[in-house]
Amino acid sequence: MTADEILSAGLRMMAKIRVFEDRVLREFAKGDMPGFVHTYHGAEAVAAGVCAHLDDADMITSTHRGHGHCIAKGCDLSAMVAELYGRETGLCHGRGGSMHIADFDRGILGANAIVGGGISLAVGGALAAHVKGDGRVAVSFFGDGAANEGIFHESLNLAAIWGLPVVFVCENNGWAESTPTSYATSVADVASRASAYGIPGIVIDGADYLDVFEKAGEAIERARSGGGPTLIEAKLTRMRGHYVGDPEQYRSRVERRAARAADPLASLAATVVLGDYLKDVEAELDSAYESALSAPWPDPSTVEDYVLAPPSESNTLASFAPSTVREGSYLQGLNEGLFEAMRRDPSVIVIGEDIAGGAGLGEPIEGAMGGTFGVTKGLLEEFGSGRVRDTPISEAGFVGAGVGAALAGLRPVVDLMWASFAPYCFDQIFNQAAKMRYMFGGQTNVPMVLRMAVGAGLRAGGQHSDTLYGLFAQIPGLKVVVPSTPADAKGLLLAAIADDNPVVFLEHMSLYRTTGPLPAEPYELPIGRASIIRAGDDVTLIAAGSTVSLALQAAEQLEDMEGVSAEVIDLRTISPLDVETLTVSVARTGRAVVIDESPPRCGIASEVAAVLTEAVFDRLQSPIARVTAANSPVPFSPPLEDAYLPSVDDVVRAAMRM
Amino acid sequence: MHDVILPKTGIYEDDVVLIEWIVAEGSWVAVGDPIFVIESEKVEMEIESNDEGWIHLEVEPGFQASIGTRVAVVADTELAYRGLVGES
Repeated sequence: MTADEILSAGLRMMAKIRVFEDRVLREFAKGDMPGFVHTYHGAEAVAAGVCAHLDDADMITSTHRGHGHCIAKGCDLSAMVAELYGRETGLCHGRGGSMHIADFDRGILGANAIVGGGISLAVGGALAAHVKGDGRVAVSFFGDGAANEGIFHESLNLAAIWGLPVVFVCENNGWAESTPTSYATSVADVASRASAYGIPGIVIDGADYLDVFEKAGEAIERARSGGGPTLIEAKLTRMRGHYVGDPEQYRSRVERRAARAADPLASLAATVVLGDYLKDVEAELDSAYESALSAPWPDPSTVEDYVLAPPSESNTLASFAPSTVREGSYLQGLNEGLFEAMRRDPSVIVIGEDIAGGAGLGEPIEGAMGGTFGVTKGLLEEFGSGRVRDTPISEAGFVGAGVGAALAGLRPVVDLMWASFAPYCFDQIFNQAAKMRYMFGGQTNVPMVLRMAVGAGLRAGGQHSDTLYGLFAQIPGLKVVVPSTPADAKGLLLAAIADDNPVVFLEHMSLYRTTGPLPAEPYELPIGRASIIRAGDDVTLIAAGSTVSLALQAAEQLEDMEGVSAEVIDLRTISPLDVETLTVSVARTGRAVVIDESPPRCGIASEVAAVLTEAVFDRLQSPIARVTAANSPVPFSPPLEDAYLPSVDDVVRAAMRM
Repeated sequence: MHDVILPKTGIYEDDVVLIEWIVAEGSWVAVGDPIFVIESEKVEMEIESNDEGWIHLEVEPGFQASIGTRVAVVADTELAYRGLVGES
């Protein structure tokens, strides 16, 4: 293309974005567009100049101010407008709205309304491109406010050490909502922060289309050819308020007028003739608004559609066929599950702290542990550092990268080491992994497994002993699995990796060294199915993970000492709960004790008790009892920790009170 | 002829109060000119014109109504404005 052609194409794209956003201002004011919107006025040259170098396979992450990114990446205007109105015909079937537009056919991994939320997803997209070697590039657009989020720093570091094909584009419009960047940011140029991560950082004029086009082109080409990431800071003027209707009290009328006048289109328009192009865009929008406003609303009965992906038949192994059972440990079950999953599917990768025993991207270290507990031992030797990677201690960064990699075609197994570290990356679990499929109207799945060690009893103290069962189970969009035996650990892990949903896989520390029957061959156990592991008639003891052995011991005592016949149910999955197995059992026994190693408030024990009360109240002969951990953090001192945990005696006493 | 309405300015959809006209009846307004002040969500803000032309004000300060209610009209030409207010 000649320089004139480049400029002409750029101006057309910028004008298209501007016409779209001017129309949004007008239409939003009328009151029919739900919620709130943020427009892209003043930044048009950035989206247009960057996306000019990308094709549909290349990935972007966008922001709450993302209409420009979507248009420049090729979204259909009509489907965008319908999404702004929450209609079924919108890009995300109305589940996303302005701040959560995605179009996976155009490589848009979603607009993200969490500041900085998209940055680690783009790193994950780039990781997928890198592992697959398919030449794709990921670009993350974000604002200057995001450069003060931890995720920005974790993500740049991760992308830098792995040399990933990603370009970070900071649109610095001088404001984080109403807070000036000059106050909130410690450096004059966000780009200078690139030097902290050893990658190029460049400042460009975000109002100058040719400057954006040229510099972004160089960075994207470098990424595509294996040269690693770049941080680009585009200096802009935010022509309008933070959101449409922002009273902008933080700037004077004079400043507002100056901002409105700092128009990157004005200077270009004088040099390029748009002809009838603007009229064509207006006409396209006329028809887009007309069809959006007459389009159907989503059917209210579909409110829970898209939360979880349906089971995929193609990817399932034979269910449990114990032909060659031998004795093995829980840890071995997990290790064998990982080996099998990686052997049968090249898109499975394993990332996490210390999982390759400190080898990083280098050669395996002889005798290395393979994770803190040894679960990942040997994987690096067989599968190499392309698929088995140590991460820095950047939980938000690498969990977010796992989500992005899942969006971009991999099946990551992410090792978070301890569940107590999950709060550090709660955004990536809660706002990203769990919500992506729903917010984007089922356009994508998030097939990832988040492995974590849980549980008290090993004198690890308050920040290495949590279970967080109730916390995870309360989040729509996640499945939560809690295996209690070596055979379950293997079969459920294989099922979790094959599942198209994000699965939180909680391994109790006290169980790693326990042994039991372990089938040698690969098999899957169904997620969402509980198991009756001891039959009984008088009371049902309901447990998960480490409390299963408490329940079994209590059942023996009840039998031997009291002549009470106790049935024991191992939940195995705490989200979704196997309500049917629970209700059938309790309807028959008439009594239930629910044992939960989490603190009592709003936990699994409460949930199971509530579900049973609703389902079989008329069959209950006694109130349901909850036996839980104490309502405290996990204490260190052994007598205190023992008092914290539910015990066999607690279970027996609860059953005998019925 | 362009309608000037009480706009939605945030996430709430309550009634809006026009508390002050910044421009006078019959004056010429440009796109982006502040033309009136509203109170919405306990905050006062200036509303800018979306259009250019001669403005005819239709309500008095203190007027309260739902989002989308017309409060003025902008005429493209002076002639159209005169027709609007019944002058010849």
